[in-house]
Amino acid sequence: MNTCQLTGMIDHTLLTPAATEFQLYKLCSEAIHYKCATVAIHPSNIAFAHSILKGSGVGITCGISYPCGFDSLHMKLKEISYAVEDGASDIDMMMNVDALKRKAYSCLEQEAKESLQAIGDRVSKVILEVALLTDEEILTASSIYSQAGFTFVKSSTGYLASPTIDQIALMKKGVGNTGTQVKGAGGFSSLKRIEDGLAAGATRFGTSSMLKILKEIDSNL
Amino acid sequence: MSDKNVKRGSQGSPPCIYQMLEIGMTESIREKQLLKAAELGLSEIFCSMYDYLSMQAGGPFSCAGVVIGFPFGGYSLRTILSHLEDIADNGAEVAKVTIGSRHLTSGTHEELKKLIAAIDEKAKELSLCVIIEIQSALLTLDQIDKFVQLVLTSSFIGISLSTGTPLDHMRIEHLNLVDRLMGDISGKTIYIPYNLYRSENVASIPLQCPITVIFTSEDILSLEGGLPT
Repeated sequence: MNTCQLTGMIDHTLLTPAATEFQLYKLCSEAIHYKCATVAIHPSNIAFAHSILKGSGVGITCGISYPCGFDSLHMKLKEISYAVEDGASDIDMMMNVDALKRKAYSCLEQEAKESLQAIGDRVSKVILEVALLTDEEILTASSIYSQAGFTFVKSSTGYLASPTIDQIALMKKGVGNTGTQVKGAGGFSSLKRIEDGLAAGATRFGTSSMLKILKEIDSNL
Repeated sequence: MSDKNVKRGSQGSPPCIYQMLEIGMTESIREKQLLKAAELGLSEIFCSMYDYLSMQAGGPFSCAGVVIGFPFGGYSLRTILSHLEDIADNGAEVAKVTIGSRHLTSGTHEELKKLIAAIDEKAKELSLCVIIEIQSALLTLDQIDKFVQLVLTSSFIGISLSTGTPLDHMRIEHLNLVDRLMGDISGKTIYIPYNLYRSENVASIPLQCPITVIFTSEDILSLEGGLPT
């Protein structure tokens, strides 16, 4: 794998609560330099990042109801509309895990349908937080959100335990032939881990360790 | 403005609140944790809007605050204000709002001042009591000082210095600083996590401000018998 192949699949991530404007500026500059897919940041930082990234070709990933997914659908829709207005190109929405645990599938289907309407032509990703789910729940959630038309199902927030590679493969199985892709996030901090994720079917990765991984690639040349 | 759901400091042990904010709890785990909280005498809870609405259906618990922005404080101002409206529309009277630290760490204090003023104004408009929360562990004492100065003149009923997550270990000097700055005339309560209360023996420290101790699920599951005195 070369540098360009890698960085085009990376959501270059900075979710530290105390991140400074300088750190955000540096993140955006690196993302432009390395042609990352997006930067992944908190909603409160979108407008600032947009002022730097506008016209660069690098998108902005914004977490919705992140990382707990506690918010009502009504509030998630508002958060999405604000994020889109502020300049987000990618919406990473935390799913309603409680509803999945209760097998309230119609609730999830409604969440998927209405959130996709709010996201419009932006890239839509739903976070499953697979560390909390059984294999059956991972398959079910991947199936529901892929059939609804989400661009990606995403493994984790990074807040809880990292996904296993088997769980990434399970998500790939769950989306079937819908065209929905899989995003790995949480613990993708080495080249080996990225390569394992790719082999399992992921095509996008959220990581705050991109520079470290690039050094690994350089040292392999 | 009502504060009936918020206990103030007392002569004896400080008031205690259970913060029930785990993701994806099954009903059985939720019931088990609530049962343990009830056994310990924790009748007030910081919770999500979902759990707040569930509690309205009955039971022995009352809501000490619906959380907004937990745990990273990453919400934009517009989102925070919309959440406050949602909380008020649903009948809750207290909100615990976690705000991000970017303006403090970046030195853009005017922006932070505007953010705090906007939350304060909305709280007054909605007759909501607000507890404002920061992750003090991520800040210097000087940054915490700046934050408290901005909050002192607000209508907020208290300051929480930690979200209680494993990533967020506040220190005793944070409590001492905020207590000194707020003094006994601010009328505001300081909210601290139980792990700090226990490890630093806060009960033995003379403080000017009333404090309230926040218990996480991990805390209450580790406690045998009653609450510590």
